[in-house]
Amino acid sequence: MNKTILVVDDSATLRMSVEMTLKPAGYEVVQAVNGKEGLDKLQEMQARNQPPAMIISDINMPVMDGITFIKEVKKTPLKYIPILVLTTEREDSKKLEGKKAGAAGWLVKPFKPETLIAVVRKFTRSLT
Amino acid sequence: MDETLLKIFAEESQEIIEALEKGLLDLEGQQDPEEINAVFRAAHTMKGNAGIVGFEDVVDLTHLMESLLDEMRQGNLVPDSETVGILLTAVDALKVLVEGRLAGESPPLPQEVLDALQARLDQVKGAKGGAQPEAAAPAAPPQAEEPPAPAEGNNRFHLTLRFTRDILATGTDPLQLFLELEELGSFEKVVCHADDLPPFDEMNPDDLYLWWEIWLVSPESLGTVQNVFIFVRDENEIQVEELGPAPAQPQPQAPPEPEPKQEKPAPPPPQPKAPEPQPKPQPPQPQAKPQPAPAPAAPASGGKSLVPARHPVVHAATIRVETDKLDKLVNLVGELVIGVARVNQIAESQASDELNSAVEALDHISRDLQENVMRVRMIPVEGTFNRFKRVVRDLAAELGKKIRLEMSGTETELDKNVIEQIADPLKHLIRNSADHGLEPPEERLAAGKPEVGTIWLRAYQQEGKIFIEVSDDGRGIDRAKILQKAIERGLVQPGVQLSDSEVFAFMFQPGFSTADKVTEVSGRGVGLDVVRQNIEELRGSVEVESQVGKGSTFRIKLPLTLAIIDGMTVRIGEEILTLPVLSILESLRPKPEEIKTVEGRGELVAVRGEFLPLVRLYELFDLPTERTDPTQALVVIIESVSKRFGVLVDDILGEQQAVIKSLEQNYQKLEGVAGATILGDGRVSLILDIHGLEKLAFGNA
Repeated sequence: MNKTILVVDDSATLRMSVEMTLKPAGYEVVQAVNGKEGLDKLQEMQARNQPPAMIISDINMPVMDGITFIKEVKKTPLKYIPILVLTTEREDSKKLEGKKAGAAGWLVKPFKPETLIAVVRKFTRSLT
Repeated sequence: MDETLLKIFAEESQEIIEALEKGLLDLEGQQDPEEINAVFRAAHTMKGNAGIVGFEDVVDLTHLMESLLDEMRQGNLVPDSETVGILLTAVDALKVLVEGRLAGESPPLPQEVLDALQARLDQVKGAKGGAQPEAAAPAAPPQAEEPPAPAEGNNRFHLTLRFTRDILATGTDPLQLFLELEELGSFEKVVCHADDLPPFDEMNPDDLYLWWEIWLVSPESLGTVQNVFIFVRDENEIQVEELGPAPAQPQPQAPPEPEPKQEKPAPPPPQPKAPEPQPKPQPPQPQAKPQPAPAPAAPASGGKSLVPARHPVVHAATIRVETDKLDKLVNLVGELVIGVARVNQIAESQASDELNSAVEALDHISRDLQENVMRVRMIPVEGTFNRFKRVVRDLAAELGKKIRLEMSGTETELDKNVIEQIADPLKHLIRNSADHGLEPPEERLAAGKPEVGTIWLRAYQQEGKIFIEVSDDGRGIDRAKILQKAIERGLVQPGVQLSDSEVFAFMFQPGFSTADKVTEVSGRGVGLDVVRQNIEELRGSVEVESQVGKGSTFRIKLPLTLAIIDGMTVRIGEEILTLPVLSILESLRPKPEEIKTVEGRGELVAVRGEFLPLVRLYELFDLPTERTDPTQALVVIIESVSKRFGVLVDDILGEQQAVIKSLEQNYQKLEGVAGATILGDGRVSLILDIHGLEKLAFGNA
């Protein structure tokens, strides 16, 4: 079963805490620091025929923000990969924007480890 | 809290705080949306990170900063110097708070900073409020079509919430949705239906058997209320109906609806084992509110997460390495180079071509390796330079002057240790320029200069050395005044012809200040002599150029690295000493008539018509030698910051790169000695420290 998760966030602290949460639960984490690097990583993973099982993305990032990133992913063959937004944004307008762009879920930072694991389990399970 | 995570947090915080400070300073007075966005993002990331590590006070502070920056981002607030000032103070407070928390303390919350931020925020919101009340829903409130809405224009909604049975097991907690809903208005009535509950022995503790009806009174629109369920409505039965405007008065008791089983328990009733143990309904807090994702899965397997993981797989162009590790590496490579040099020397005596060429290759590689390892320690001066923007800003305010800071060569790289140690002297020189160099605005205008004074901070590399200059377009240094003071203090005899640089060098003497009045900023007794000392400790030098009325330049010359020295090996008797090439001007063999002894000045040697003090190194270090006659030996002319002098040595052996070994760490500190190095033949050579040497030879230099 595919257990790789792409985490896109400009905060090293956040990426680290996600990785530390998911690793013990048996997931591999690939990190990217913004949407653009996220797209590059996706392309690389696809080229190796190892696309991630899901993507966790921040909204507010330099170079390429999360909404643009989600929209871009949805233009690629990898559009089936569920994308969970993990952000401090809690406004409806933002959530709607995320939903419209194609996000599958929304989790507000800081997250509880068990919540994140549960959500990730749900997404990675439903995929296969 | 996990150590690894805290470490990453600490490093990232430092970067963010620097970025905040730099960004804010760049922002001041202009409105570059990109820049505002970047600063906003920095505050935003800081807040998120603080939430992750649980530093709630940091979250509170950064939340206010973020809100203020958000107003700026939306164009409701101009980054004038007052607002930037408030935010900079907040950055300072943030620094203190983060450092304190990381040190395991709980520093007091900087209430006055929070208040200042809040006040500014209220001010903006107040100004905006007139035109567009903050509370009004963004979507057109229904007042228009509906009968005139009473009081606050509240609407009533009826919600029916039937979640899928496995929703609790999938990480979504309806409680969070209730809390979010409650933020929109008030619950008139909540009914929890338990009619689906199975007999106890058939009950699955992870399943949800309850469903709810809620009557909500809220000023928000239907769309806003529906949006609470954006991510769950697809898989769950969520109905939201608008019942029309609510009466202004307190509600007439509950609307008609079936068998109310429980009266008004605002949040949902106790759940059979909710995945997140959150026993009591809390007032919605900004942090503790994970918005559930659409019906995720499987009960979280308890809180056994955060098992210290390995260092993260950092898929980035850079990795972080502790400087300790680098130091060790540099040291080891140093040993390697010395070892190779010894092998080299042995090989030369073996007269084997094969051996020689192998050793030569080895020598080549080890030097390459050394150079590359050294380069790893090099970081751009940019970070340090950027800090001075703040210094200059504060100085300008303090001194009532208008100052612009121009920087160039910020990409120039220096050894990390050097950068850390150069910051203080640079700051001192900048203060000096701002305080003594630049004139007040009126004086500048009167002199036909632009009102705003400029301080330039330049870095560049030239001939294997790093130069850092601090210049200003101020009043320049009054040569006569310095000479006068030097004569008063007995540093020089009246009538002696001195070059400008020799005169300016007096400024670096301890206690030498020509400032007419002592100001808050500089002239506090810590003078340029400390700057000189700091720079000399880095084996660098500093020189001054100045033109009255036009400005001054302080030029610092530094070696590329502290671990290696370009050394000139000299022999005295059996002893081999190493002199830093950076300090050597020339060497010569004096003729008998060029050596003189003058009463009160000691022995002098004439170098192109100028008499310089002569130091007999064998006497100074008490080394046995035969060559005590200068005309039979060599004189190496040394230049330190404050003077030039000659040192007498038996012979010069040649130039070589020396890896410095600390004597202090391996033996003890010796006056006039910077360290030791191991020569190719395995012998130890002491590396002389010019500043120390000067002290030793001339007393308190």
